[in-house]
Amino acid sequence: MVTYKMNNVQLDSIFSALSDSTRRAILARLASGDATVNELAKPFEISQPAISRHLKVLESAGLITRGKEAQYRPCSLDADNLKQAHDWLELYRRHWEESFDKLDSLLASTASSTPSDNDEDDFVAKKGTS
Amino acid sequence: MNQQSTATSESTITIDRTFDAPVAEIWQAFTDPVKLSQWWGPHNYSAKHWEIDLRPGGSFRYLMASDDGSDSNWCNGVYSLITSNSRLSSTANIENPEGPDKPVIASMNIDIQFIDKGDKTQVIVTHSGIPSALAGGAKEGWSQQFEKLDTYLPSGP
Repeated sequence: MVTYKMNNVQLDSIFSALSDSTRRAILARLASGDATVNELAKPFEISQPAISRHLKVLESAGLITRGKEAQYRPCSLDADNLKQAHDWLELYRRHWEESFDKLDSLLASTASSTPSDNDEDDFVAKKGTS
Repeated sequence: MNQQSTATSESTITIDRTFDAPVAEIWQAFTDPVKLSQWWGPHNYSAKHWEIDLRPGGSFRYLMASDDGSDSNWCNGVYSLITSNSRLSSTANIENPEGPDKPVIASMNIDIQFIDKGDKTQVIVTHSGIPSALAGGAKEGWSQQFEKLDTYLPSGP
């Protein structure tokens, strides 16, 4: 469950990491499975060291994790952290949509309550204008 | 990239919904503490201990708490514009869990329009100033950003 207490420093680094289209594309690629730096560099017209720098940013933001082997260090998506950042904003949208669902139910239950209440209101209103 | 290092980007959410009730009833749902306690808050959360001073410059405060008790935050705001059955604007702050004297977690604005549609009421909420804690120039709204990100995420909860 998302809380209102998400660590701001962590959020800063996550949002900063996500502000780059190459890094988002890397995350998209990793969503379909782990990959090495070489594999990740292939679709992009940028050097492997440049990809490595992007990976460092993603890693320090906690969005990906990397294997331990020196030569072959497959990258994996850390979807939990990505989801948390996403939920931070979604929390507000959800607040309204889910609140409004509850309001709908509340209105429905009020409407189905005794119709004599409404009659009484009409009566009072009429009395007031006479 | 032309990036600012310290600016905090903010997002706006607009919600447009039509309710099956006359405007006076909807207005009451948004301004009566008893009614608000019955619906305000996302699933598994509820807003308790409402205090409302319904006049321009008047303030409100409530406790947003999860049903399982694991998460709670005081929220408050000050009404800036009140037009009965028509318009309700206020600030909206999430207080610091460390105390009301500490800097707030979020300082936002909520503007609500109530449009009389006879038996129905259209409600348009503009929730602005939502902090996205972004260091960098956000050329596109974060909501849009995140919609795209949705497709990057593995499906399922």
